[in-house]
Amino acid sequence: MTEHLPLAAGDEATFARFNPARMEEIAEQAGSHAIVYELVGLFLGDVEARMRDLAITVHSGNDEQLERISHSIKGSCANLGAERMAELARLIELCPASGAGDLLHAIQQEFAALKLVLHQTYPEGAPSDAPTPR
Amino acid sequence: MGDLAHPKVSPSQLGPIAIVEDDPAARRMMRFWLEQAGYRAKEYTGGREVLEDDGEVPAIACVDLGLGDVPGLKVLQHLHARDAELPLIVVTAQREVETAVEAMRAGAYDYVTKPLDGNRLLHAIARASERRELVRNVHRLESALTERDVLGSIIGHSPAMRELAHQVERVLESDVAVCVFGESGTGKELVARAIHSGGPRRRQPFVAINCAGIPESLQESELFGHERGAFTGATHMRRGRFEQAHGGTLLLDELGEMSLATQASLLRTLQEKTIRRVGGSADIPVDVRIVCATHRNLKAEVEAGRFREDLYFRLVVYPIMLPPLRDRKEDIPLLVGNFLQRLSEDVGREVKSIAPEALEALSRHHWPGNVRELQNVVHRSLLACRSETITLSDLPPDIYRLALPSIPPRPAKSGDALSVLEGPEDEVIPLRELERRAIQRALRVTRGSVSKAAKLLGIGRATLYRRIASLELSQDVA
Repeated sequence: MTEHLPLAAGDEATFARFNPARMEEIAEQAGSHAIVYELVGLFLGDVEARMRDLAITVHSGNDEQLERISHSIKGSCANLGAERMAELARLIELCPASGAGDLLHAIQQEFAALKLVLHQTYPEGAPSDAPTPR
Repeated sequence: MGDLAHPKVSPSQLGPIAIVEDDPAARRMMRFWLEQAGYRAKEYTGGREVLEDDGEVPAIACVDLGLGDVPGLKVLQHLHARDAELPLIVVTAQREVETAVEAMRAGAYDYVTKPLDGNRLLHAIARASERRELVRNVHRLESALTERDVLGSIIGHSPAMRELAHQVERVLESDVAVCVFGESGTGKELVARAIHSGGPRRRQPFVAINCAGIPESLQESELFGHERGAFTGATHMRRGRFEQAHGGTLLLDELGEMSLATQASLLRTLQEKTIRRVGGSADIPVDVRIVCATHRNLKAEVEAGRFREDLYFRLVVYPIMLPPLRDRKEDIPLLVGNFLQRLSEDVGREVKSIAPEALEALSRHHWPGNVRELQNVVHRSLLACRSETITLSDLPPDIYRLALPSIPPRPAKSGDALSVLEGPEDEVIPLRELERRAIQRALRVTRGSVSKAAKLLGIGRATLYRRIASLELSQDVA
C-alpha cells in the first residue's frame, strides 16, 4: 500500500510525524510536564474514537459526516503537532467518501505510527514532573 | 506571555470565560492558558451543553465553529441572544476565513485560528474584556443619566420626597417585593421605573400592565400569554407580560383591580417562578422582579375579601407611600420648573419662568389630580403663554380665580370701582355694578386683552364686547 500513500516523499519531510515544539513550549510555560502528559492522553483517547467513526463513515459513504469528522481530526492533530496526520485528515476532508479508501488506510497507518512515537516520548505512568523522555 | 499577563482589566475581576470546544485536548490547552493568566474558565464539551445551560452568562465566550453536535454559528446566535454585549471569540481552523467572516456577522467580536496559539488567544481575551468593560461603563453612564432623569421628575425638596428617595435607594439592588401606594397622578409608575432603572435589571425590559384597564376575562391571557387556539380569536401564540418582562421588571399597576381568579394564578406563578400560557401545558421559567402599585387600601381589600391575604403578604413586603401633591406643596415650584423645561420643547416655545403670583395661584389649588394635573395645567398655560413668562392670565380660569383674593386691594376711594368687589356686609351692590367691576378687573389683569378677559370671566369674546359697550366701559384699562 506504500505506493498509494497520498503524501509524496517531499511532503513527508515537510510534515513531521510529531513536532514537539508546541508541547515543549507549554511545558515551559507551566514549569512542569504534567500538563503535556495530560494533553497527550486526552488527544489519544479522543482521536482513537474519531478514527473509528472515520472508518465507519468512509464505508457508509456519508460525505457530509466524513467532512466533519476529518475536519475535527485535522484540528486536533495540528494542535498537538501531529503535522503529517493533520495533512492526511485535510486531504480526506476534501475527498468524497467513495474515493477515500486509500486515504483512510494511510491515516490509520499514520495514527498507529504516531501513537508509538507519543508513547515513547511520553510513556504512560511517567511522573507528572518528569522531564520529557527523548 | 509578555504584557498579556497584565491586561487593563484584571482577570480575577472578570466573570468566567466559556470554552465551547469538543476536542478535549484543545479545551484543556485553552483552560491552561487562561488559568495561567489568572482567568476563570468554564468548559463546555459541545454546543448542546451551551444551549441547555441557563445559568450564569459568561463574561467572554470562545466558541469552536466546527462543533460536532450543534453548528457553532447556532451557539453564537444563542449566546448573543442571551447577552447582546457578550464578546464572542470564534475558534476556527485556518483557511476557514469565509466562516469566520460569517461568524463576525453573527455577532462574534474576534477569532483565533487553529493550531491554537496561547499569546494570540490571551490577546483576544484581553481586548474582549476591555471592550466589555467599556460597554459596561457606557451603560452605567446611560443608566445613571436615565435614573437621574426619572428620579428628577418625581423627587422634590420636601421631607416626604427626600424620604421617598431614600426608600427607593434601599430597594434598588435587591428583588424585594415593592408595592407603591398613592392617589391617582402621584407618580406611582415613575417610582416603579426608578426602581427598575436604578437596579441591576436596568438593561432588561420594564413592562407595565394596568389591571384596571383589562377586562377580567382577559387578565390571565395578558399576564401569562396564550397558545394558538386557546380561545375564540386566539389565532396566534402570544407571549404574556411575564414572558415579555423576563430578566427585567413587571409593574402590576392598579393591583387592587385584579380578579380573584387571576390573583390565584399570580400567586402560583410567584411561588413556582414559572408561567403557563392559557391553553398551554408547558411550565415556562420566568425571572421577573415584581413591583405593584395601587390607589386602594389593600389591607381593607383583604378584610373585605376582595384581595387574597397570601398574595398581599407576598407582594407587599416593602410598601412605599407616595404623598399627594397637596401635602407637599413646597415641591410645586421645582415641579413646575421641571415641566416648563420639558414641555417648552414640546410646544416649540421658549418659556423660561412663571410669575410669582401665578405660582402662588398654583399653590392654592387642592390638586385632586396630583402631579399629573399640575403637569396638564403647566402644559395648557404654556400653550396660552405669549411671552417668556407664564403669568396669571395664562393659567386656566379655575386656577386663576384662586389668585384673586391675593391681589392687594387698592386704597378705596370714591368712584374707583376696582378697589373692591365686595363692600361692607350690609351694603348691597347692584348686579350691574358688580358686573362692571368684574369686567374692569379682568381687563386690567389681562392688560386689555378681550380674549383673555373673556376666558377668565367664563363668557364668549363677543358677549364681552357687547357687555363692554353696554356698560360704556373702556377697553383700555391696563
